[in-house]
Amino acid sequence: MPASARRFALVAASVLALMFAPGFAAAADEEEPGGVVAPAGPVGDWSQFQGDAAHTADAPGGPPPPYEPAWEFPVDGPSGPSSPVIHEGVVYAVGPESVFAVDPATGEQKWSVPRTPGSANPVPAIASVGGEDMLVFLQGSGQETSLAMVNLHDHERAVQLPVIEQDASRGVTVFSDTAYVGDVRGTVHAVDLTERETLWTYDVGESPVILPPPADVGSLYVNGADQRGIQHLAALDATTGEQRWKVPIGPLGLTTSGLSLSDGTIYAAFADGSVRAYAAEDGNLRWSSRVLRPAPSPFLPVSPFMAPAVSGGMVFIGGGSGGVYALDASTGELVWDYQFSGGPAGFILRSAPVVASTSVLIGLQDGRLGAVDTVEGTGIFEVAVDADPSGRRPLKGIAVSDELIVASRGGGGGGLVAYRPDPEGNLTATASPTRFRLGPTLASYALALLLVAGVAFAIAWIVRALIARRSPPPDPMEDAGDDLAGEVG
Amino acid sequence: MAKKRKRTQRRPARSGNGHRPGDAPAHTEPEAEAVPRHPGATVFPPVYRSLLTGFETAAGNPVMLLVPLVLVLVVWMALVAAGLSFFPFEMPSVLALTPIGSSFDGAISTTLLGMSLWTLAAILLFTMLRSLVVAVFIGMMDEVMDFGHVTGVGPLRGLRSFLPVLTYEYIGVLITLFGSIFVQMLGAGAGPILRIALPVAVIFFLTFMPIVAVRKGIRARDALSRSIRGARLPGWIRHLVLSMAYYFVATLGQDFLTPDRYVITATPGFRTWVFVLGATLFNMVFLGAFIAEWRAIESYVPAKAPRRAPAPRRR
Repeated sequence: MPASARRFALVAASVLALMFAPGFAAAADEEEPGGVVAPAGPVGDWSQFQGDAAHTADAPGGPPPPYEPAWEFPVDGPSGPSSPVIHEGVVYAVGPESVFAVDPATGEQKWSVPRTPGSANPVPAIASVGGEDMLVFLQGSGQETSLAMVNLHDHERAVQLPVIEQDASRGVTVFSDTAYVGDVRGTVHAVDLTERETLWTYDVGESPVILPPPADVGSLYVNGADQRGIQHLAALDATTGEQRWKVPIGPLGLTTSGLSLSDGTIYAAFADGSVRAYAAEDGNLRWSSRVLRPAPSPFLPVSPFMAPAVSGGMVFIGGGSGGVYALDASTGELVWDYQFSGGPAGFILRSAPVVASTSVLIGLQDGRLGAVDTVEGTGIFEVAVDADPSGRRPLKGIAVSDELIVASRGGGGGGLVAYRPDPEGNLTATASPTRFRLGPTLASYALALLLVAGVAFAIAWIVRALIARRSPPPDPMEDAGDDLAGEVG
Repeated sequence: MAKKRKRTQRRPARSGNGHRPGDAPAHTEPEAEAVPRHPGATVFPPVYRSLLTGFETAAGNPVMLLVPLVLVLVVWMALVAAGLSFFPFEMPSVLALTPIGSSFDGAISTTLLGMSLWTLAAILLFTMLRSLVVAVFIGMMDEVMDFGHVTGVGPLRGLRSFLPVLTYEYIGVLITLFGSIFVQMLGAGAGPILRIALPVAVIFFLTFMPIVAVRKGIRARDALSRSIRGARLPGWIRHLVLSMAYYFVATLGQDFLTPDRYVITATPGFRTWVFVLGATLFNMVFLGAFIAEWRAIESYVPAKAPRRAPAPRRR
């Protein structure tokens, strides 16, 4: 069955599901357009997944491109380290068997602490517990999965925290002195880091909670599918786990990205190509904008391992087919989109978008780090250390500090890769290949038409000549007989 | 100086009942020829001969060759105007036969409108346009096979049979739509088998339907009935081989041979155009081959289904 037929099947199932999905329509609110560029300042800490507890991935004071490789830190194992976090300039990440700290100036390891191997290397988070800075991370797998934390100053050994008892999601969210983690059974766990005990658990539904949920003062936001297959977005009281509101957001099979939170609005992208904004206060849909291009099968328009970035009144989404999209955060209007391309692995985004200065940074499956101008939407820079067109060593999570861009490299022989500003480097202004150009299209078409039609016509002429040559000459007697028969008739 | 005489097309002579081939159905049709029943008998032409005829028809006439190839550019321009920002890798199937063409309609509708009820409306609209094009192309090809050139008569004959052709296309869409849901429900067991068998069966049983509708000018139900009966005549294995060859080459070619499949761009390059135009020609050649097959077996297909002999009474 062709890929298009498989997509057709997906449409069919989704359309039928849509017919029975409740509460699926809402009006978009008209608001003032965004686009205000925030003043640049020091980046500070990149303390957890997408920078902070709200996962906005916004570092207006981060170093702008062009970049050059600064250092590489190899990590043994089949899948490379977790996305890094940065605290007081030091880079931290989770490896298969250890958590470690890396000197940002040299790329040398400062220290490491053993970790119980797990099925993945989830993103750690920095927490302040009793005045001490701690690195909170997940370890183990299955029923042995647990949270642990290590003191960043003495870093002698990891302190065991409550057991999660299920394979956990791709990372931890820390807000205040509480850690939040989702598991593959759709349960969110809140763990008090001071008391080292589970505060509460909440069952989102039947589907896994893949990415760390965003949090702000007093609330945690989660999404997941219930027993009927209807996906919901819910707000929980961060202290008690009580459900504040819950709204349906999509039918069965509608893959969603992770959530990001900014200025009282929750942003997410969906596999139907839409990006939506929900009010954090009550879950009302503020706008929905269908902008994501479909991805070549078997990829989805959106990856569940990504989350939107929010910066300067704009929302930046990484699509499943290599597109980066900028939307007005207040209206959902598409401001620009840029398409990465190049080879089977060149169009697959692997990192969630991250904003550094006035550039959106993205990691690609073939190991490239790409940068798009936040204002113009043009590709301005690409760099790679040992680019792998086969896609076995993707560039995954990105972290930003004042001086460096640090990303994790997946696959065998992966590790951390750091880039620093390159004063002698050049920027480009490449237009997205998705902008239609009539002239080159017609020129390519005309040449192809000449070739295909010319060759086909020539072959047909030869075939006809050969058939005519092989067929016996007409029998004059037969013709005469026909004429005679006609006369007689 | 001799005046150049305007070339006119002679219409086929009326048969005994005053009915021309292609005219509205007459009250009486000639009796079908007796079907040979001996072992190994076949009324279908060899596959290579059908394909040669199809190729000669699709590529040997300049009008027949150029119209589909230019139509591909027109479709792409229309899709760009409708908001599509990249050349879809399903483009080689733009003029594919049902159900592969139906999958193209579904994929493009989804791309343009996402997953909503409007998508269904778009699929229905695309299917109507496809029916129009298929009907015209069948009329043109049939005319080329009869007279060696295309005039307005062939396309008009096709247009006259628009409704039966539309029915054929909608049947293809429905089978593809619900078949694919059914395939998903079956899962990994029988699902993959049905995933291949279903489209092949649609091509095998239904492809003659628009052809017979255009040639005979009959209603959709009668065309469907004749198409199914024609596909089951002795020697049907040749028709099956042609159907399977078409399905596998068309789908596997699109999945594995499309150049720059992973280059997402709104400005397709020379290689991409060559492949898409080549694939379009391929689709036309097979449409011609199926028409050639039908023309060869047409006289063996009775106008009405033969009545079954009553079961013998038990004493």
